Amino acid sequence: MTGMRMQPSDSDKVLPPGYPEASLQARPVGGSHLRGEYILRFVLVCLSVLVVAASLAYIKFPQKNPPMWEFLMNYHKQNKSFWERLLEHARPVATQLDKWRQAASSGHRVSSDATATPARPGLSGLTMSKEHLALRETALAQLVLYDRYKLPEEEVWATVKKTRSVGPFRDYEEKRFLSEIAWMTYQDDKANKEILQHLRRTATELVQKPSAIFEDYLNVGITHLLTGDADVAIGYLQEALERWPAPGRARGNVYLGLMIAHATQGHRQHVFRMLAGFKANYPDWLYVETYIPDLTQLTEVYPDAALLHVIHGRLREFVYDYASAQESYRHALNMADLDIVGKTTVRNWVGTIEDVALP
Amino acid sequence: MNLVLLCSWSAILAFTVMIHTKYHWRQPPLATCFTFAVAGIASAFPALIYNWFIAQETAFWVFSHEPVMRFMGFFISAGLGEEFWKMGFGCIVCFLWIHLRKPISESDVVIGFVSLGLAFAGYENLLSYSDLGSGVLIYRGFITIPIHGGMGMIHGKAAYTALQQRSAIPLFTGYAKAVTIHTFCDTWNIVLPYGGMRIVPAAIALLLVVWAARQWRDMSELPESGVVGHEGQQRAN
Repeated sequence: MTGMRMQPSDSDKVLPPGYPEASLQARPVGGSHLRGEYILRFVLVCLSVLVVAASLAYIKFPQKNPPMWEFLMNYHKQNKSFWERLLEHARPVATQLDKWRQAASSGHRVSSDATATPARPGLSGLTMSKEHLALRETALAQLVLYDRYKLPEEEVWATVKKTRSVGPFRDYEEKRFLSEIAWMTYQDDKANKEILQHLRRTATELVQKPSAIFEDYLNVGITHLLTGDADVAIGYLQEALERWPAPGRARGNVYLGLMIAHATQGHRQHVFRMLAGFKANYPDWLYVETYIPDLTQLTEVYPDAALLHVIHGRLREFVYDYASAQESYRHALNMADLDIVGKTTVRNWVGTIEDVALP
Repeated sequence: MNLVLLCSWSAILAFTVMIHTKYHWRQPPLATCFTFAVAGIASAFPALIYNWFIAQETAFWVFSHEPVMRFMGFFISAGLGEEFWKMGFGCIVCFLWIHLRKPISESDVVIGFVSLGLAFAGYENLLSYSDLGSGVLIYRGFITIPIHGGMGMIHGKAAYTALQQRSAIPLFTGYAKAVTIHTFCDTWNIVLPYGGMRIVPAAIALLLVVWAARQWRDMSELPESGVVGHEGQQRAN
């Protein structure tokens, strides 16, 4: 049976000079009757094992669709495939996102047209250490799971605590995480004044930390605004607006908050100037239903602030809700808080609505 | 083009080094390597589909929060799955060779399987990891591609032994070794205690490369008998 197989010998392993050319080819392994059935056997057996393993896994351990799985799958679907990317011949060398990243990593503020202007150093989250970033990302992921998938607070907090990132940022990040959880709780229960006071204390602590970022300034500004200290809030919100790294919806909220804070203090010039630039600074200005309730809530905190009604009217006017706008303007005109210049301007707006919009 | 090079630079480098350090007496079997490399690229597709099925339809997800599920995900998808698809496609090439009565030598089989592993790894980089940034691709160039090349060496030696012995047992043992190593490479952070162990995949890659280099150094580029074809068969008889 083994007659067909050649046993190796040491002399055969080294090619001497002048070795015949024919011997430079390999010998056929196996004889004429060898058809490699053992290869097929191996392939078929392993294939069967794989099929059985997949079937058992499918039947006995079906997918439970954890939230993170959906996130990653959706993320993967949003990404372009390799072939799509390869075939993008016309792709510019540096994309808009690349420019933003480059600008942010070099400590520059980024504007909407991707041109970088000097900003204060250390304002961007991109300058964090790897350990710090790992903790921040874990906390953000857990916040999303808590908010969207209603994971228990204890569970998400335990996951954050388990993250092995050690450094001076630890205390800041943990407080920040708990503060964000409290914010979400407050969104569901806005009548709860205790949470609001707790948020104000936490936000004030956070903003004094060396790791404090622009969002912390927004949070402390908003808590002060909601608790009636609009004069203090203006400073924080102004700081947040200046530190905010990029334009967009989030910065628009800072802009709105600052405008409201000025309105509560009767700063007419600021309010009218910011109203003029509102559409440019608040990308979601068209969707009044998303931010008007916040404005309404603040009119309860600051009932004497006539400029809040002016803002309300103007924002309604932007979306052609002239009836609501006119009602808010008239309410503002009847309040003593509005000075003569403000009243004149508002009367002009009311007249325009009556002349043009309401026959 | 830069992306393709970034994904496959270490595969090209390893292949070039292997060719240049071995074939002094005969022409390098480039056609053989090309055939195996095509098989490696082809094997990436069923591997991708199989991995997708396991991730999509079962609880054995490689990012699962449960360590056991995560381990099983790697074991079935990366270990059992990828290693089989690579080895299976290589074996099919060998099977065709046998039927075409092509002469096969150990170095040819081994470099064929190594080419298959390297091509698989390079193509996997392109398909699945090329959007994750240069850092990931460079890391995979140093760690993952050499590991796949080392697996190719294991597959190749197993296949050649099987061809010599006309038995499937060496194929199964080689497959089991490859599955074990591949699974451990992916699950070291589950199996071993966390912290200070990030050197593990690099150490595995280094060990595999050293072992494969020694095997390759000791392997003759010539057939063992020096007698080929019909004449050799007659002499054997």
